[in-house]
Amino acid sequence: MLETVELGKTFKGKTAVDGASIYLEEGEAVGLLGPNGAGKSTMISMIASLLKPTFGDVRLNGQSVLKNPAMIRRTLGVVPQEIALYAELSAYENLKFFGRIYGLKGKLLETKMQEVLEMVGLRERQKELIRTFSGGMKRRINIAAALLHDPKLVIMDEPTVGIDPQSRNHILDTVRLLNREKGTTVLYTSHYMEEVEQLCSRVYIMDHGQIIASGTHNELGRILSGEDTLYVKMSAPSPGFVHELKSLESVRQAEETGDGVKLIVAKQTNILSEVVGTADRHKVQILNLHVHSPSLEDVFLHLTGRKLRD
Amino acid sequence: MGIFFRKDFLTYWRDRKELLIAILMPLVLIFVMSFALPNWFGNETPSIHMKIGFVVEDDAASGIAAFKESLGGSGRTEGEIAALAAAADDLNPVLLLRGLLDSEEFRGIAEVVETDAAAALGQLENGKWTAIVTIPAGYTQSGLGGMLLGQEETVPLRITAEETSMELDVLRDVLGDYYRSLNFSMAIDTVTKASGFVPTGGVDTALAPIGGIEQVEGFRVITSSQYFTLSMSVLFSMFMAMTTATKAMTEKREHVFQRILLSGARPVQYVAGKAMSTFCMTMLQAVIAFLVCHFVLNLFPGESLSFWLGVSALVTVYCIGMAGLATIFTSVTFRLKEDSASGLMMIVVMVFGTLGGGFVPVYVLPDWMRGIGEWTPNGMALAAYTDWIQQGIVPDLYKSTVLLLIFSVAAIIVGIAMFPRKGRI
Repeated sequence: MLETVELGKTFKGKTAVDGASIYLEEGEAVGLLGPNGAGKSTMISMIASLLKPTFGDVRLNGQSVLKNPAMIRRTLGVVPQEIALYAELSAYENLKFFGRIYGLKGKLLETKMQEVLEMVGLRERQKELIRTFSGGMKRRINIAAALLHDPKLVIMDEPTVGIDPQSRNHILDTVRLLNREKGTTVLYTSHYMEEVEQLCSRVYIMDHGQIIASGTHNELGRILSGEDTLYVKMSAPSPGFVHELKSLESVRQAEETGDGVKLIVAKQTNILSEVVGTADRHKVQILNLHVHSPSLEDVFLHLTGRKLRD
Repeated sequence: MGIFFRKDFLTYWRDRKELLIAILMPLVLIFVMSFALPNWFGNETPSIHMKIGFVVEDDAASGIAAFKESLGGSGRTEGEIAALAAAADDLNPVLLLRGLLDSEEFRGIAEVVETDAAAALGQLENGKWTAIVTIPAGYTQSGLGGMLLGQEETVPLRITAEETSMELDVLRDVLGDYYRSLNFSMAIDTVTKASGFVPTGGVDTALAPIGGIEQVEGFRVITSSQYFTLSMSVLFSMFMAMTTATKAMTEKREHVFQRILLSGARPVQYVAGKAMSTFCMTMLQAVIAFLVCHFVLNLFPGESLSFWLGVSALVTVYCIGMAGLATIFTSVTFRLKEDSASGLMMIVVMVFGTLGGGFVPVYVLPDWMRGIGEWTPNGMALAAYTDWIQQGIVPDLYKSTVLLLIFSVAAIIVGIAMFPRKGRI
């Protein structure tokens, strides 16, 4: 349905997006992961035809969007990271305004408005001003405004940033409903790995303007197939113990977790005895040892050397 | 375009704090300035009235006699001596001065109490009197010598005061005018005498009008409250245009504008909405300012319907001009960074406001600044308003209206042309 071909953007000599190629099949939910400054928002702006690429192309059903931006604007709904609403207007007035500029009128507009309000669970609060809403409620209306014109493709740019768990769950349910029941194609960017794991069948990982990995969870997981993640929980902090663990040959990465340390280690190594031995030398009491298979978060850390929220 | 207008108007309307400031601030300033500076323009001023003591230490009869006596043995013919003696009787300087002090015009500004020197000084020291006018001994003879023989006057009139004051300045000016007028008449008389006329003693010592307003035929005086209502109204309309652009800035910053673009709406619709909402808000602001000031300050008492129609026409075209200014400002916010755009808009409003008479009356500005100010939208409007109030000439009103309309349309076109095209925002 949608693909970007070697898409790139430079601003005053600085490359924000560097030859990024992604594709989305119709009805798919695809995650786009990357830390702040990775180039995700620039990429989204180029896909939405709001920003002209320096090089590359965006194609919708095989046709270049650059030559016909109106084509993608009719098909696309964008949920921006910012609350792109009028704080002084009510939820109803905001939706009416955005619906009208999408060309909806009369009964159809009213029906669509009530439908999206129902979808985001704010039908009862529609007459209240946006500025009186909580952060989570604003984000839900922010999503509703992008769905009024029944877009075939929805791009969501970190729609759950800084909101309460209830609103977050509501938003995730809305995305699921859109994708699984209505068949809407979704491109979802987030800092929260677990959201992407729950919602998306495929994931692109972006860093420094480039797509550095892509695939399904299993495919990405295989990147770390030669590794295990080991969580060590300690009775008390011991910098010397952690320092010595980091220097062990079989430990590829180590990260302090507050009450212990997380280690990414090569599979089939005798790591447990090494850890226990080190703990003995430092007189550290180990409360818990837990080994698990790598998550997307681990894959991301492995690929970029950074945590997603860095 | 209607939906954009409705959205912009609602966002203005719901922002009660901003709305109250936009409407109340000009009213507050109009009231404060009208009451604080009531005399900057043609308002009636509180009349000056002072109390002065008049002390006569000279004996006029003796002085005249001494003058006549001094004429003998001066080489003049009998006829000349007789004519000068007759003139001396008619030109008694003390009587002439009394004539001035007793005149109705002088009594309009001062109450004169004739008394002796000691009593007068007592009143002066008590602060009850503004000054003492004293005719010293020898004044008559010295005055006649000056008037009729062109001799140096050695005994001048004496004014005594405890402290300087506006009243004292007025008294000095009036007496100074009186003596200048007297000397001028005597000079004329001397010339006519040289031409063969005999001095008649018929000196015109009538006092020139004291103070007052020179009223030019066909012009009405504009009052301070009228001026400040007009100037504040036009100035704050420009601030309203700036507020529109500030709201556009927020739309840009919070990506609402991107959402609008994604809908496929044309930028011109967006800008037109800004222009229309600014027009309505500035109209509302001006109408409230005019009506409130009219009823509270009695701004235009007893004016005809045609006068009000003329004012309405000017308000309307000026508000269209402000809609144009708002489109230019909005375009600037999309072309520059927020800080730069805000700074630029503030500079424009301040410079236009100063040159156009928004902060100080245009008459205090140098000519070159007034010349430039007439080409600012607010200066143009202020001049049109004052012309209409002062003269009420319909063809002039047409001319001003058309000029403002041309500016307004040009501003709207420039604003739209400046707005970045799609893909460049």
